[in-house]
Amino acid sequence: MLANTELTATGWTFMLVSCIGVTWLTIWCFKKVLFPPHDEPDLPGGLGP
Amino acid sequence: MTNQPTQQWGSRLGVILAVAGSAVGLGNFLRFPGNAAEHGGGAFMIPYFLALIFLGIPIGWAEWAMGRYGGRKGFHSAPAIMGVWCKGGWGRFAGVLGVLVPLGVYFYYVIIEAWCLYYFWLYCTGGIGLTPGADAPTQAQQARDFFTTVIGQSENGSTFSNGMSGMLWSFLVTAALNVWFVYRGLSKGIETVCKYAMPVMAVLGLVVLARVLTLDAPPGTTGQTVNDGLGYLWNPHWEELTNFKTWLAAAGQIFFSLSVGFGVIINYSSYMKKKDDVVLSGLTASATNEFFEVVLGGLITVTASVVFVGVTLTGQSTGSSFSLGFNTLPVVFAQMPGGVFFGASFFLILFLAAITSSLSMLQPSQAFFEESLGISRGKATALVTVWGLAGNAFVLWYSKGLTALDTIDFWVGAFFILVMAGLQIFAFGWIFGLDRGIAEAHAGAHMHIPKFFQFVIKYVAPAYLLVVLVGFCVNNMPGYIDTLRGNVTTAVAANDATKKQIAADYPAPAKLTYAWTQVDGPPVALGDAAKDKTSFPFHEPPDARNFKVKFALDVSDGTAKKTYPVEVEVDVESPGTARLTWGFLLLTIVGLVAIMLVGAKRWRAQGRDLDGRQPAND
Repeated sequence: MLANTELTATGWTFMLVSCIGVTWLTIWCFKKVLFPPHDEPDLPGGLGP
Repeated sequence: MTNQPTQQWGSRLGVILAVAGSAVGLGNFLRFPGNAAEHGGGAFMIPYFLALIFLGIPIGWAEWAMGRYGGRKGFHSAPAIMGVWCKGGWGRFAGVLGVLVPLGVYFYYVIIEAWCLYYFWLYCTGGIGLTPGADAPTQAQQARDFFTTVIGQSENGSTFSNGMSGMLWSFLVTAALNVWFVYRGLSKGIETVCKYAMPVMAVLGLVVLARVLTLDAPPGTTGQTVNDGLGYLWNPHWEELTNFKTWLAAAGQIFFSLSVGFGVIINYSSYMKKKDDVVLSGLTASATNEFFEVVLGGLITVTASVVFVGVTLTGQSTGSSFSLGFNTLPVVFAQMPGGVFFGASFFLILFLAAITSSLSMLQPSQAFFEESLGISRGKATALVTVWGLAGNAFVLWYSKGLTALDTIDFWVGAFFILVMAGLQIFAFGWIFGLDRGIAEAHAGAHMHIPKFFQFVIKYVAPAYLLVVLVGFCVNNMPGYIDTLRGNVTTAVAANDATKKQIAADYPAPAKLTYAWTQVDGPPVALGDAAKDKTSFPFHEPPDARNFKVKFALDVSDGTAKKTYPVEVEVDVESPGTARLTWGFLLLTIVGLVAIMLVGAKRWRAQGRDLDGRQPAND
């Protein structure tokens, strides 16, 4: 058996920051996709005809 | 062109889930945790997220924009779209990679998908037959033996030797499902599957995660807790950050996980309209993939494995996705209360992850055949089915040592993906022009690509990618070239768990010396065994095949000596099969190039702007 692998404070930090970070990004993206602001015009751009 | 109506996505959410479904695959649940555990634990997340920001997201945005622009010019295949972006014929040749990669990966990916379906079926009907109450190492050996039989690893053609086995039925069902959904089309087939499969995967994943996080090791087993399992994966090992391989592994994980450079995003986004957003859609698909990878992949598999089979067995399996998924986790399910249910759930998750990916591998070829040869969707589906089945049959038959699978995976599923992504980002930032490319991406966008990322797309991502490509080739290519040349070398090395044990036993900074003694297996020349390393290479005799060799590794710091067992499973890649596989790949490449040339001739005759001289219509 290897040495103790109990989750340390730094391990907790990495795990929580990583998991909460990607979860927050996913929720933020889906919120913008599913509930777009009604008055938001398309941003200018495109190469045109 | 045929008179069929142009295909299109049913909804914006549909295309996002389809791209996310393509990205979420076995690598999220098996490869990511193994990679992280082997390369620094929590510290691995630093190069991992840097690669996401500087490689994955920017290249993904470029690919989304390229695909949609190509679609507005009436093209849906990577060769045609790359021709437009690269303003010439060489782009079309380069774009053939965008068809070869998904088709080539499909050759073996469906086989792995069939393994998942077969295991799911077995768990639905009681499990894979591990002896109840046996200890973890015994069950691990049983799981290994069972898996070896299922995949036919011991002999070419052995998958077929027992007639229509469960594995073959699983393969036929899997292949038929893939063909059927692709034939149904983008909206009715791929989009519908992903709309159901992605939420089901997320819910099942959260159920399994909840169970894993509330596990208690049964009395008399490892004595490890969930806290230990999480610590095994997430505690940072800072020293790994100074190892180039850690950065390479992180970039590779991001790269292959997000499906960039794969030829899929460029095809999927070609069915979008100019007013459709690609920036937010691309970011959402990437974020969804990251959720499945970091949250579900990072918390479930290794944690459960440490609790039930301990650190040592887990350490031996993290280097291989197949080993972790099909050898170690069945032991976990055999020891876990309600393990049959959770085993079935887990392999259903893997199967759904795999089928949403494999569907995306057929679609680019189908679109390519349809628009190059001017044939109907039905005929294009028939052609891709025959070609795909030929590749599947090749990989299924040449199963010994998984040489065919491994050869295609390395050259097509890794090397060509890096090359394709490099060509795409170069075409976007340097040939088409960054300003024009960004303007195209911003058409219909609900968010802007920040200025910072525009600099990244032009300079950082190509340079980063070049370093990754060179590092990848230096680290991996010599072995594969040696295999093709028949010069097979195996590295005898202490595994990660043993190395960590040595580091724990000799914490003081002392110069250690190593001495190797062979204790079992066919004789191995120890002349190359260095005294200052925990590994050494040996050349296998030409007639060597799969066998095990056991060594005793004596470690000394000058005062105290300790001995560690090292067992090496020599899984010899057959040079003959590797060459045959390359022959098959060359035939595929020649066929695809020929079809591309036929297509280019047709498009030119139709007066289409195949060299991107004119602006796109809306």
